[in-house]
Amino acid sequence: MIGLCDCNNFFVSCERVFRPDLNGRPVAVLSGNDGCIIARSNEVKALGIKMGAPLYQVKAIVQQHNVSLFSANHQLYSDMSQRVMLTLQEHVPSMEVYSIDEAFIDYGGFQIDTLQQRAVELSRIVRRNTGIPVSIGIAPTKTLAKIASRLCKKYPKLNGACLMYRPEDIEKVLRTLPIGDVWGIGRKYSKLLNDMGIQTAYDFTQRPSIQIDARMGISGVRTWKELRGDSCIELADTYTNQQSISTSRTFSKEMHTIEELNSVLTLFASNISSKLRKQGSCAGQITTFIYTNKHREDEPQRHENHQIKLSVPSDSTLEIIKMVTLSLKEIYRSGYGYKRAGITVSNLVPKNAVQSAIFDEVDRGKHSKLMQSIDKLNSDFGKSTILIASHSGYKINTNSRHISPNYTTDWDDILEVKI
Amino acid sequence: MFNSDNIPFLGSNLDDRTVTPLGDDSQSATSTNHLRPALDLNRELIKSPASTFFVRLRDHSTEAEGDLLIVDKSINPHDGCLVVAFMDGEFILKRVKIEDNTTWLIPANSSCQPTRIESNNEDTVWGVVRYLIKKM
Repeated sequence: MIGLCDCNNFFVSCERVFRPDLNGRPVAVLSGNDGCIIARSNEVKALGIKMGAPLYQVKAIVQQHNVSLFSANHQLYSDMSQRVMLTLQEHVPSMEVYSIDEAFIDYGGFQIDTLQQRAVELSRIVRRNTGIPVSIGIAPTKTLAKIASRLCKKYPKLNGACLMYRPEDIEKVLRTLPIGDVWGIGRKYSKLLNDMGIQTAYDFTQRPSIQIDARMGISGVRTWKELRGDSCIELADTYTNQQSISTSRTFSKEMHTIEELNSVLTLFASNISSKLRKQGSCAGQITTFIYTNKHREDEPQRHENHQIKLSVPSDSTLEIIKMVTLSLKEIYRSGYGYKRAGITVSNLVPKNAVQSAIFDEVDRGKHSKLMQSIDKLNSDFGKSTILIASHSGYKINTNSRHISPNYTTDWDDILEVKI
Repeated sequence: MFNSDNIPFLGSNLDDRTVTPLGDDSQSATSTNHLRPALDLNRELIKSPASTFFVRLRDHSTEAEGDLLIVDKSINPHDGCLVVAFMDGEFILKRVKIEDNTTWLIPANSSCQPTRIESNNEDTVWGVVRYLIKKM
């Protein structure tokens, strides 16, 4: 059996630990520059405010219902996440931290009839020790465990834990679950599957696997097997097997010139390259994108992205910047206000597995040494000591007007108590 | 970690009239070929890092102003302990009194009335104070 421990409305819950007055009241957390809603309390969900909604679109309802708004305080969320993960670790034999607010738990070898009680108890301990409410779903596979943890949120009577393992129980749940809500399906496949006449997760499991393979490939078949109770996504070691890394940002002010965009993207490319080097992998593909403000319908729109495949996977800042700049030249058009830009590196391979191409123009040994020196200087003297020339010191403004105190990472911000 | 069987206490074998100085005994933990790290207050004062939070005492009228509390959320309140409570929209320091299965929160400031709460009321009791660090 596999468990999934998912923190309920995690960012909101982090804020509420230090603001118990907000329990039972509508609370929302906003993205980096207060642009969009990225976390919602149940009360906010009930108001019909959607995930990712731009703040100005929901401003009226926010004011009318006196929704408490917070700017994302990632210092706080990351510290609270570590506390939750540490607490779980103390109580389970092995686990995989899957994201800032989710962990898979290995419940192999436990007697099934003890699992519900165990999970209720663990859920209670995490809640008491950290203040963060969690939902623990337990099922034969990761994909089903995800579904079980959602059930806990829907039914408070389950006391934060849901064991789902009898085939008849699983079938009952899958019959009412829209296929788009299944882990690994996503919006794109959900539409494709709907067109094939598949509405629910149960419909999906009733199709022959060849049909799924033809439309979705191996990952689709994996999801199909997992939904049928056949576990095929192993518990991984934390943070390995990362398939891609992304950096993107919504700007507080639209950018119009290629110079501005290049300078920001260069900075992203540097950060991403140094991340690659830190985890010892190289990227085989680099995707660069620039988007106009889709919420300004009165303005001309452009959503462009461009991919470059590398003949030899790379982790070199110089090479990645070069590719990003080339991509930008391909997709940039003047006369548009760009609101968002970013980079994704994918097709990651371990550095020691990189084979060089016959016609490789880059002197990899030399690059590698230069990168080591840059990383060392930046780590010794602070991030951004050494920048590649095109950064030009452009500063991305972030407005975070509603940020909460760093209760756990700054002495000046710790909780205060009266006598 | 210390193994208490191996640590010679200064003067612990006075009966034999041979005083074992610390660190000068081939059997002692200190003779192994590594230096112990300096004492770490975190390790002494924080038993459970995941559930421990620092809290500042605010009371401008007394000397307690600015004192530091080490609060552990994992501990169940017991009779006589100090807790950080959340009442009437604010954090306030209280002493717990448990009498015949009834839990009371006694104000540190005696002019206020005790409050009766449900036992293990996590909405009211935010955490239990483990240490109070006083500035002298």
